[in-house]
Amino acid sequence: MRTAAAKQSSAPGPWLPEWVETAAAAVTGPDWLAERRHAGLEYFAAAGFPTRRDEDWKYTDLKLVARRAFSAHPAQSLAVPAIDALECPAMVFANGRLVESRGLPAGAVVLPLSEALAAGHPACRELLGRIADPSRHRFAALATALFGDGVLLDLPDGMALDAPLRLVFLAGGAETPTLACPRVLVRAGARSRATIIEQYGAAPGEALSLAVTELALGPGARIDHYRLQEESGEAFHLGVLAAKLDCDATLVSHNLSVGARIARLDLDVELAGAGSRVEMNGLYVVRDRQHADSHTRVDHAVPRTTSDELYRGVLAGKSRAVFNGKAIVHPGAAGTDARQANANLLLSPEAEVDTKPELEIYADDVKCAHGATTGQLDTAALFYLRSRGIDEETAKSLLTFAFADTVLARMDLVPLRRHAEHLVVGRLPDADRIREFT
Amino acid sequence: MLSINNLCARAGDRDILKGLNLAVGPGEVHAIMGPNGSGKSTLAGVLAGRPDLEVTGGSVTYHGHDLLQMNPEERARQGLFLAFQYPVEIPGVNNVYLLKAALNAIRKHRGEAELDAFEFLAIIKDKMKLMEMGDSFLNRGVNEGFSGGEKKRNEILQMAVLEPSLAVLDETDSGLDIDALKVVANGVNSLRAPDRSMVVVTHYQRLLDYIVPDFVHVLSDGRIVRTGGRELALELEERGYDWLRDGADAA
Repeated sequence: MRTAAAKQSSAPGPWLPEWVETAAAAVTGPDWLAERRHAGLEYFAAAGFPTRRDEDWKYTDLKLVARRAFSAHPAQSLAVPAIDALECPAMVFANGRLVESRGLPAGAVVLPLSEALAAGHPACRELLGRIADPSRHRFAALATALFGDGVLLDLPDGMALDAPLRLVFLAGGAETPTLACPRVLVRAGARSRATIIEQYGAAPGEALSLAVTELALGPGARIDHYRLQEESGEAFHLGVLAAKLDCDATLVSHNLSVGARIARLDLDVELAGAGSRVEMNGLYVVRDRQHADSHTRVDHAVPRTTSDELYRGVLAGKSRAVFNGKAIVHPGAAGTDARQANANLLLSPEAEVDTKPELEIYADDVKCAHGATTGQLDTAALFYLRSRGIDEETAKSLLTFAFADTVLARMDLVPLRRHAEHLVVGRLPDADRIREFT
Repeated sequence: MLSINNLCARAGDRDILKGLNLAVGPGEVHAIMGPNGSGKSTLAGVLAGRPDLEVTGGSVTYHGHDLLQMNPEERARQGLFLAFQYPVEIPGVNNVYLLKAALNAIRKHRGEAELDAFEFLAIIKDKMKLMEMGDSFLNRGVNEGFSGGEKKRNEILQMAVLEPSLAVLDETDSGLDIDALKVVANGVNSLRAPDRSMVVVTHYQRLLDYIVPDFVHVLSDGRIVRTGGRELALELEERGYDWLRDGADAA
C-alpha cells in the first residue's frame, strides 16, 4: 500500500518513498530501538518532504532530494580529507560503515554505536533519539529509523580527554545515489571535558547524508565541538545537532559549511541547567548553485543562562543561503543573556540570502541582542589596500577572507582553524595570491 | 615631479576643488593648510585615486605621467604614498603580510627581486625601532584595535618601508598628543631625501614646528589663495583663516 502511495509522491499525507522502506527494512537493533525507529518513520511519513508551505523550510527547496532514490552502498575506500598538524584519535566511516579506528582514548567509552547497542550500553537507551526532537526534525526522525552505525562517546564524571576526538564521515563514491546516516551520541559526565571534531567529507557521486549528533552535557561539563561540512558539490546534507546542557555546562560549537549542493543544519540547544552557556559560531561559504541553510534554536529554559551566536556567510555565483536564529526565553528564565549576530557578504548580484532572527521572550530581567546585516565589501578598506599597491581583485578576496575569518578566529584549535581557513581561501577568487596573507 | 593644473573635483554633487594649481619639485616639502571644508583631504584623496571622488577638470602630471589615468594600485607602485587621516581597520588581514605584499608589489613593478620573509623582517625591524613600535604590531590585523596614535605611527611605518617618491600626509597630526606627534614627525623627517617630495596636509601649524616645510599654501574654497614660506603658517596661527578667505572672495 505504501509503495503505491510513493508513486504519487507529490500528494500530501502519510507516505514513504520506496527507498526509505527498503533502507528501514535492512536495519537491526534491540526492541526499544525498533520502537523508536518505527516512531521515526511515522513522524517522517506524516510530515513528508517539506514544501514551501512549511514555514521552517520556506526558503529551502528539497525537490532535488525528493525526486531521487538513495540506497545503502558498501563501504568504499574513500580518501580521508587531511587536516595538517592534527594528530589525534580518530574514527572513519565510509557510507555508514566503520573503516578505520585509531588511538582511541582509554577510560572513556568510545565505541561504534552498533557495538554499544549490541552490548546494551545504557546511554543508548537513555538518550538516542531523545535529544534531537523527532517531532521538530523530520529528517532526524528519518535518520533514527535508518541509521546503521555511528559513534558513542560516554565520558565518565570528571574525565578530560587530552586530545580531540576526530570523527570522519564520508559518503558517495558510487554509481547510484548513496544514503548515509552518520550518527553521534555523546554523554558527557559531570565536569568532564572533550573536544570533538566531526568532518563530513567529499567523495564524488551523489549522496544524501542524514547526520544526527546528540550531546548530553552533565553539570559543569564542557564540550568544544567542531563541525566541518566539506562534502562534494553533488551531495545533499541534512543534519541536526542537538544538545542539552545541565547546570554550569558549556558548549562551544563551530560550524563550517562549504560543501554540498544543498546543506541544511539545524542546531538545537536546550540550556536546561542554571548557569549553562553556549557559544555558536557558524560560517557558510557557497558559490555556483550551492544552497546552505542554517537554522539555530536556543531554549533558555532556566535562570542565568547565556547564548552567544555569531554566524556569517559569503555568497558567490547564483548561490543561496538561509539563516534563521531563534532564541526562546522561557517563563522564569531570569538573568538570561542572549546575543545573536548574522552578517552576510554577497559577492554576486545573483546570490541571495534570507536571514531572520526570531526572539521569543517570556521572562523579565533578560538581556537579548540581535542583528542581521547583508552587504557588499567595505569600500574604504578596499581603497586602503589598493593605495598600498594591492590590485583590486586581490584586495577584494583579502577583504572577503577577512570577513569570514572573524568567525574562524574563534576556533581555539589551531590546526582546525588553519584547515578551515584553507577551505575558505580555496573557494575565493585569487586563492593563490591571498594565501600568503593568511 | 608633481604638477597640478586647474584641478577641479567633486564628491557626490558637491564641487570641492575649483581650479587648484600646485607644483612640487624633487625633495621639496609643501604644507597645505586651510579651514575645514576647504578641500584639503579631497586633494589628498584625488592624488591617491579615491574612487568616490570625481575629477571634473584639470590635470595632474606625476614624473611625466598622467596621474589621473592610473588606478590607485598603479599610483602606489609608481611611488605615491598616502598616509590616511583615518587609517582603516581590517581585522583578519595581517599587518606585516600587507606590508610585505605592498613592498613586493612595488619592487616587482620596479623590476627588483621580491623579498622573502627573512629579508623583509630584517628591513622592518629597523623601521619599527624608528617608529617606537613593539613586535606585537606585526601580527595583529591591519590597524585592528590600534589607538589613534598607533594607527598614525603605523602609517608612517608603512611609508618608511615603502620609501615613496611622493608622500601625501593627510592630517597626520590629528588626534595625536605631543609625544606621539614627535615620534611621527621624527619618522617623517628621517625620510626626507633629495628625491622624495612630500605634501603635508594639516589644519594646525603645530605639526610644522616639527616637520618644517619649504612652502606653505593656503587652500580656501577649493583653490590655493596664498603661498609663502614657513612664516605664513605662523601668521595663520595668529590671525586664523578668515582674513584670507575674505581676501579670496574679494579677489
